[in-house]
Amino acid sequence: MDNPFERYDLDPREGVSAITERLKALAEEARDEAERARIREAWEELTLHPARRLRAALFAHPETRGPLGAPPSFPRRRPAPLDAPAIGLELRDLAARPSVLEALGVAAPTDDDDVPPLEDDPVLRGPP
Amino acid sequence: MPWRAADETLLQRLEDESLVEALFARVAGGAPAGKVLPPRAAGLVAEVRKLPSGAAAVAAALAGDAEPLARLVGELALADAPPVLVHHLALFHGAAAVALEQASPEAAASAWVRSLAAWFALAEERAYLARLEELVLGGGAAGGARRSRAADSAIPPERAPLELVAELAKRADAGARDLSAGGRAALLALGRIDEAARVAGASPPAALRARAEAERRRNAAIESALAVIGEALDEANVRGELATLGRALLLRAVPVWRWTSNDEAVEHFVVDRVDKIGWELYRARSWDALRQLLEPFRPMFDSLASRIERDPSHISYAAGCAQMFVFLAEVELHTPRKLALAERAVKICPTHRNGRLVLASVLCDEAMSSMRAMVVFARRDELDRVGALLDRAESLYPAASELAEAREMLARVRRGRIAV
Repeated sequence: MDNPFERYDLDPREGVSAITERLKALAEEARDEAERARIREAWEELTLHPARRLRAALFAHPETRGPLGAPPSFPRRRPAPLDAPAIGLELRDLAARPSVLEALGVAAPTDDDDVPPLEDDPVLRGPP
Repeated sequence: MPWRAADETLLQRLEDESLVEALFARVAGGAPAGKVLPPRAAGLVAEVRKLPSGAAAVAAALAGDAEPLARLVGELALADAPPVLVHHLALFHGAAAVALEQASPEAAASAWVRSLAAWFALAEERAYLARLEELVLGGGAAGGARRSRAADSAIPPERAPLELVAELAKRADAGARDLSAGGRAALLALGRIDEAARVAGASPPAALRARAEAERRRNAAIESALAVIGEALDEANVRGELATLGRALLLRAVPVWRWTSNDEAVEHFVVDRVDKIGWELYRARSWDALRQLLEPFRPMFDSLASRIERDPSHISYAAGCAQMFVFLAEVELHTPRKLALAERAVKICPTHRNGRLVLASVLCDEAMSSMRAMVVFARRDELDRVGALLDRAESLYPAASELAEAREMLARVRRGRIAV
């Protein structure tokens, strides 16, 4: 069962405005006219026919996954030395989960290279 | 860089995605989830984590043992489970059914039944579906016109299982012409409504409503499958080619019977059509052609006869079915088998004229055959048996043409042989 709510990752509970907004954004990013037509068809299906919208909502998995948070702010890094390993990753690049650290009986590691993220950089932020 | 709560949530989402895929592969016989399960289906595992034994099952699955998770999902008491999890399960099992239908329509039908059970459970609970409907249609706090439009578009919770019944009917109907595996799975599921209602603990009126709807739609799908054969036979009849082409056309009903898991409607159809073709061949005295016509459908005749013998309410089909056994008796050359077939015809329909006539005739033949073996001596018990055969033949059909001859022969034997 091809479901427009699932195909375009729409939450049926968010209502017609949210559906329109999301599909509009997708239509603007569409690669070709055919894809844009499919998006328009889905929009018509979901917004112009409430009964069909409800039926599609019934047959769409409800959104019960945990909410996606903001991505982490990556600290600035010094340029890698020329003789660095090809893969470019070192042990310090791995973040251990708190449960692992606790099991190992070690505190969270401190990083000599740790610098504040760009948005927290006092120089870039300028005077308060 | 510290490990944040958002990182933990993201990791859990990724774990849930991989676990729902593993669970799907397990339920759907190894079918990949990628094409049929949307990423949001991972929410099923997120909901399972919240169950009392859910966290342990998820932990075991993450460690490589998916058995506790599969068992938990498979044996969940739907009536007590959180409705949002039941909603996930309804769709998850539906997707599994679609994935299974080519490899095993029977297994796919079982998955459909689990899906239907989940819909029954949601319909019984009502509040979840009512809330979803309110959010989707926006009827709650809306103004008069909008609320009225929402009400027109609403699907009352008790109709939710019927939505799946309608979907199954659509699949069955679409598969009717080419007898597809998907259509067969849907048809099987439409015949197992009571089982789904029982699993969900649905109320008897809900089960009854769904069963009536499913039966109506199931019959329509079977009629679609038979319609193409019926049309071809009607055309052959118009062209006067029923006797020559009828068998070949009607043979298509055999796979339809298998496709419907030996449905009674197909048996009625075949009996009705064989009757027409059979009389044409009978009148033309084409005994070999009649024998060939009947042979592929014997299992259907047996099946329908058993239904009639088991359930007297099938009486209206008795005469047609009895005629099939009359035809079979007419073309049978082996006397004991001929007798058994004629007996079956009369057993199915005791008042069937042709059945009684043929049985009387076979009994007379049997009696005369026995008497011909009595050359000089005749055993008394054998003479009594022959007498009983003729008495029965007379009671079945007094005007049987062989009866007078057989009676006369018995009188001669009684006079001329030495009874021992």
